[in-house]
Amino acid sequence: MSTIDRISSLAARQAERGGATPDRVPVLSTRGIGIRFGGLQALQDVDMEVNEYEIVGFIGPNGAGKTTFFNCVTGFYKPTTGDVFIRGERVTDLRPDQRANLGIGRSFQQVGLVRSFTVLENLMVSQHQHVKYSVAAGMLGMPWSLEEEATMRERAFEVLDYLDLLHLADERLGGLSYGMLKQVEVAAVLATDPDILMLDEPLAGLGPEESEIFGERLLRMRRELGLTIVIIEHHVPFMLRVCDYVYVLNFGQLLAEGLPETIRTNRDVAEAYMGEGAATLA
Amino acid sequence: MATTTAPAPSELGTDDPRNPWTPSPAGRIARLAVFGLLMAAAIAAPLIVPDVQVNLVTRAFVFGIIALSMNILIGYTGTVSLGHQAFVGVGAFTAAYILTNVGLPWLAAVAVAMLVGALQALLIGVLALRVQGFFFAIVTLAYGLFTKEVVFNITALTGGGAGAQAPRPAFVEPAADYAGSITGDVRYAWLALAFLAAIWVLDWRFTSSRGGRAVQALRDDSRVAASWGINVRAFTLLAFGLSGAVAGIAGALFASTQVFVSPESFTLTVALTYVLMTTVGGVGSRPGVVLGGFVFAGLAPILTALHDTPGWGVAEEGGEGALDVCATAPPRVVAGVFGLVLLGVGIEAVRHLALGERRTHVQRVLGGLIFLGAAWLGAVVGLGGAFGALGGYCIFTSITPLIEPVIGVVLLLVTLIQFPGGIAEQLEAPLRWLSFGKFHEEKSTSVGGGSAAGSSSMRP
Repeated sequence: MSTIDRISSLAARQAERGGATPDRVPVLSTRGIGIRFGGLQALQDVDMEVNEYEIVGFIGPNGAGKTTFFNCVTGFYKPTTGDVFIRGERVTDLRPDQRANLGIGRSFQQVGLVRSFTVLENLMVSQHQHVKYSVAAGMLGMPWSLEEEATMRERAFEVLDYLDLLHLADERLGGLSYGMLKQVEVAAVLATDPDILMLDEPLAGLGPEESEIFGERLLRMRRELGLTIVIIEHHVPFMLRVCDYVYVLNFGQLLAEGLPETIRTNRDVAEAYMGEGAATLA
Repeated sequence: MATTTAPAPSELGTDDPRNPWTPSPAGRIARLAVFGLLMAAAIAAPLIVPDVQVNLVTRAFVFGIIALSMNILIGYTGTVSLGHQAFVGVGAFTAAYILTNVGLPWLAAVAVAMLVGALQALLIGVLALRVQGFFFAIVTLAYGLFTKEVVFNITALTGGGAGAQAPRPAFVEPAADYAGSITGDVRYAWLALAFLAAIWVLDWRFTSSRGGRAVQALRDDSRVAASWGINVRAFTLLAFGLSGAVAGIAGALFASTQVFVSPESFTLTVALTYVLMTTVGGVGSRPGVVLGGFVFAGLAPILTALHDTPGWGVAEEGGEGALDVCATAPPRVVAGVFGLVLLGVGIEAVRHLALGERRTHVQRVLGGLIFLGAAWLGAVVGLGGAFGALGGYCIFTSITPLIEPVIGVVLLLVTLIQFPGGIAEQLEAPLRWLSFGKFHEEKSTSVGGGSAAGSSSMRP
């Protein structure tokens, strides 16, 4: 396949992505996202669509704008042009915490956890948006607040158990390795009960075997928890195996998008990654 | 989420974190007994000290409340406030104004002071959303100075330099026909203690519920907190509002302690003392900062007392003339040098006791306590003596007001070098024990290495 694999027609693409009907609203989408930092055009005209229960990957060389794009989608950056939609609703002007309330949960490239808390406390605070008792009720120790605290604790343990991290519950983060911290971070994001899980380099610090296990866990999480997942990762073989659909960013622009098999054999993508003359990825 | 039902605690192994360790019944009783004794000591303190010193105990309780207010900002939000004396002062003058000019009951005045304190803190909080770190500290510094020099000198509101009256509540004054031994001072000290206890409990619940957790998450990383759905703006302002409310209450109590309040009680030195007592106490630790507050509340009066003692400070008795004062200087120089040497030797000796590798935990805690106590006393006596001696040379009398900050700085350095966690770090084990934990914290063996299937281990 020698042409750039850009599919412009929504219908054609959705047909390719599993025969969805054209009128289905994507869970998460962007239209024409661009952002400029001073003289640097970090992103330009990025369109993306993520359908329910899909695992969508973003790959690209360092500095391609993957994390910047994540920050635009989750609300940490305000794009200069373009819009972000969650279930068809425009959220471009919402703050990150408001987007989190709409079901976006994200991880960070540098571990996104509260350093001074234990693992369990991290999972307690990450449930923040689902807590029903008021701050005042919590301060006065009202019975219903204590009751809900107990439920939250139980839920935190459930999430830890689900990810086989239960034994770490009372650990302070200082004692954990980088790979473990990334796993705990995923647990904390899961405890926010997101619909859309956005992971920024979740494999950093993991060995090949653990990456394998993590990939299977992602698939299981999608199936059992009904998650839609967006991943940034450098590990191309992993991405081509796990993802349903892959976007390739290069110099802030979409270089290609398509099913993993098409991306694997895309000459432009291979050249962007491996240099001139490379024919296939991985 | 996973839909497994939580197993009953009896089914869980002893290592399972879902089944936390709890003390035995005897252990519980022991902890409650110690806790009761501490409470009893606090209640008995105003009765034990000489009548003239009761207000000093009250001052200590009020400083404890101020330390809790500081702790909300420094400890929970991680922002350093160098203008906290203005927070307290606003509360003090508000209460005084309400009491003398509006004539509301005392408790209502405290409530108004709390609200006004919270409001002015919210204004500063709005700034904190835009200005951070070092620059925010400068902003609070400017706010503190501005408030002291300008706002507190508006005669119509605060009485200006003449100060304002802040009568105590009627219910702490013993009835006229009651000839009991419990004085109004003691009753007022208990009132301050009651406020301290109530605010302590509220603060404890705050940190163990959603509000406090969210604020602390913001401190560590506001981006992460936002990604978990925490409204950064709202919870930053919440912390400032709470800190201001507590400072307002402390201000009202402070004003009524001396039944009088003047702008001179809220100088920059006071703000620094607040920062020092929070840091020396142990930022983020409730017991730590309150103990730090107690220590620093006692510092100034003890220094003044030393200063007025012949042989230590500027001689008052028998020497109206400068010559007499100078004549007694040499012994004071000797005393001062002796005090400093004692301080040095004491620190070195106790450092070995406290930090020796093979010491048991109890020995280390005891050593650390003795160390801090010795450092404090040594600083007071040694530096007080030295400066008193200098004062004796007639020229340097003006230096004596600097003693308190100097001692504060010495304590701060000692703390930061030896025990970065302050008093709280030294008391970690007993405090953990008292809060129904174990005295010895076990080092977990589960960290490092993929012990459980599917968990990750460190990359080589």
